[in-house]
Amino acid sequence: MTQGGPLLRIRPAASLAAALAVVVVGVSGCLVVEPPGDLPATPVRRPTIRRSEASPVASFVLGAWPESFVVPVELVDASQTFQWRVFVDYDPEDRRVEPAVFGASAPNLADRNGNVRLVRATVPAPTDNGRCHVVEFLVAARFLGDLEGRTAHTPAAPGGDSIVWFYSPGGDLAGCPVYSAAIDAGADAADAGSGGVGTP
Amino acid sequence: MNVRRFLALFAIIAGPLFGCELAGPPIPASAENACDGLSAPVCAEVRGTCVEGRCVIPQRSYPYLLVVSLPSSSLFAPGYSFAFDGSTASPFPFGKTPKCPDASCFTLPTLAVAEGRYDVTVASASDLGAAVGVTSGPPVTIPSRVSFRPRWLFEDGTTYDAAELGLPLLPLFADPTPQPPTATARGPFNGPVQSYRAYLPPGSSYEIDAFPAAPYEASLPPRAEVAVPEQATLLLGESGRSLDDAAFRTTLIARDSGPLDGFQTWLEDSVGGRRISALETLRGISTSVTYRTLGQAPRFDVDRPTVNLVVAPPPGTITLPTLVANQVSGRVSDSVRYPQLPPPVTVAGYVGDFSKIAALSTIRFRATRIDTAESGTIGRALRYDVTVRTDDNGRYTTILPPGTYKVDVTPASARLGLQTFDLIVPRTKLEKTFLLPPRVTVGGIVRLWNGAPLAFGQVSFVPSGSYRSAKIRGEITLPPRPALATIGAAGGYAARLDPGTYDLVVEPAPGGVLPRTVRTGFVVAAPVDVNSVAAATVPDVVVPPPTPIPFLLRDPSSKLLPRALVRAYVRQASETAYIEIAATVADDDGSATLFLGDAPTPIAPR
Repeated sequence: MTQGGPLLRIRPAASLAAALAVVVVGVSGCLVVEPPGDLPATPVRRPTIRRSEASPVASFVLGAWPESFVVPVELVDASQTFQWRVFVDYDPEDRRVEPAVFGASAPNLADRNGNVRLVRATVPAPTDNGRCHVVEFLVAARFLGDLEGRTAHTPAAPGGDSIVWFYSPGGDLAGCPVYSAAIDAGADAADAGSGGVGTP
Repeated sequence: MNVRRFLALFAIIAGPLFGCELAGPPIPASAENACDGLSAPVCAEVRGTCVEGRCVIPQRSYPYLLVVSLPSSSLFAPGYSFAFDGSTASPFPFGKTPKCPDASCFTLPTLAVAEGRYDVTVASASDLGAAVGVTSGPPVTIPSRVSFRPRWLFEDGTTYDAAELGLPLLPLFADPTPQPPTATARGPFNGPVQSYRAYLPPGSSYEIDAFPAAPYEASLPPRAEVAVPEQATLLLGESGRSLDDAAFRTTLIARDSGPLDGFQTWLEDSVGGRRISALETLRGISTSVTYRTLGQAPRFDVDRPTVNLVVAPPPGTITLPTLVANQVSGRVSDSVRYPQLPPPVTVAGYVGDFSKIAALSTIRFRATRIDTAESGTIGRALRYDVTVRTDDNGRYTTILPPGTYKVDVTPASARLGLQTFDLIVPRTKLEKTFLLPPRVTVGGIVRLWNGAPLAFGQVSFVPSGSYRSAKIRGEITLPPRPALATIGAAGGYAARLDPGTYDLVVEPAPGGVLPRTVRTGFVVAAPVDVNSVAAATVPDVVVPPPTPIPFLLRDPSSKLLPRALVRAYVRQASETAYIEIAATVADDDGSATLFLGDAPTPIAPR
């Protein structure tokens, strides 16, 4: 009995505190001591192409024009919107080269965990099948605006990523253009991740 | 401390921490495909049932193909694609192994090995003029480049190039692999033996083309055949592997208006356009040619002739057309005449819009008939195809043989539509202006099965499957350029399109559970003048509830296959073409779910 004495004295206070906590939680949902400050904004990161999962794989020479190019793009922030452009035989000297197709990928609000987004591009086939063609798929948070009347091929900060396919009906790489997108990617060429650009 | 005191203390400390959940961004109800008490009757009206709070259609009964594309990082078959017949009843033909007992378990088959050599006997090499550096002994292995083009079998027994059908089954190439010479195998000049080896997905037949590599490509014939891949050594010169009978492959080629020096001739497959004979270089005004072919006699079948005889001017020549004559008599014609042609003429002009404002463009001239000095049908066997670009002011100049042409004009500007024009090139200089129509603004609404707008997906306008069918039939058409439109919050979308026929693919936002919806045969008419209306409306598209197809991918040794791309395709009604209707990527455990929608249906006229 003597051992139980202090316990009996404490119990009413603890019970009162517990009841108070339950009431407070039940009524207000939470205790907010002071309004929370704004969380630091996540810096915008460049979208990254998962090259090994692109279809068709870029490590094979394309012997036929695929019905579509499918590219998985990985994002740090799943709610990010990004742009993509596909160029066929991009020529930095010819300002008339426009992207064959282009688009933007918006997030799906119902898919909060989807930080890998599949982009599917149907690209018109070249009409001259007697030679090698280079298909370049670029992604970026956004691209630079039009440059000298030409649709920009260059990602704006924080950069972008690209993947290149070579199309040659005979499977021969002889005569393929040697231009490398890494040159145009400029400052971000080193940040382009493994696999590189411009290599089959 | 007893339990009650602990709980009291925990409540005091943890209550404020866990009692408050910050709300996330709002989730559009349509994207969730929710099926609750209110929407359940609507779900039932569209043949669906509520399963775990979502509306689904448990089964759909139309045939489809499954194509599994493995990433290049895969340990098994990196970069390869496997295709299977699929159906909701039995979608996974290779399932149910001891380690893969579940019906949704999908075990990919082992790759087949195709290996072989292009061998030529010393005697045959001597006959054909191929210098192999030895005069006696065993056959010599010639380096060769081998391609394997997957074929796809239709229900009526005909096979087609799978890539031409729109399936993601692309040709594979095998390069020669040098090996040290042995007592029984050697390369030219007793050098390395260059055999080939390729790994191929099994189950399909392939168009196998073995082309001798330089410097033998002109003197030795290619080997071209449709076969199931297997170990195959081509021995040229032995019994059963000799050149085809000279009786049906010899002709006399003559030119009416000068020497044939530098002209080249060969035989090609009229369906695929691949060369099936060695290249022959011509000289003089008239030359007898015996085409060197191997195993090509069946292609000369009288009922289904599939051989073209080609006489081409020297590489780099302009204004001289190529003669392509289909061989219909079961053998090569006794004689072929390259006709006399009138002098080529200058064709110049500019490209603009209906207001005659210049438009940078690419112009392709395709001859459908070339004028010859005398009347007859040979003009239709002459082909001339040249592409030119305009300058900044839309002006162009080129030189063409007189005749009748199809002219495809593709503007660089996104506001103008591409168009094909008919053009007759006379025997005097021609000035021709091409005025392009504006692109047509096309819009519509996408709704979910429950009537809610489908938000934040996209609509792809892709050239109709009829263009693939036409190409397979050998017709040259200019498909419109594909276009994309983003769906807004209210389900509306708009895009500017070239005139032409499209298939619409409605793709809900990525990562959701809603199926793709495909509508075929949407015709965009070209505005005829500046006063024409350049707008059209697509009938409302309704996205139905999905049919989930869960599966688990394993390799032949039952190891899980992560990150594979799995797509479903349906053959388009009355077309020789397939269209993609669903796609997903397996997760790191090799599991994924395809969400199938309804089979593609034609767009109802509005």
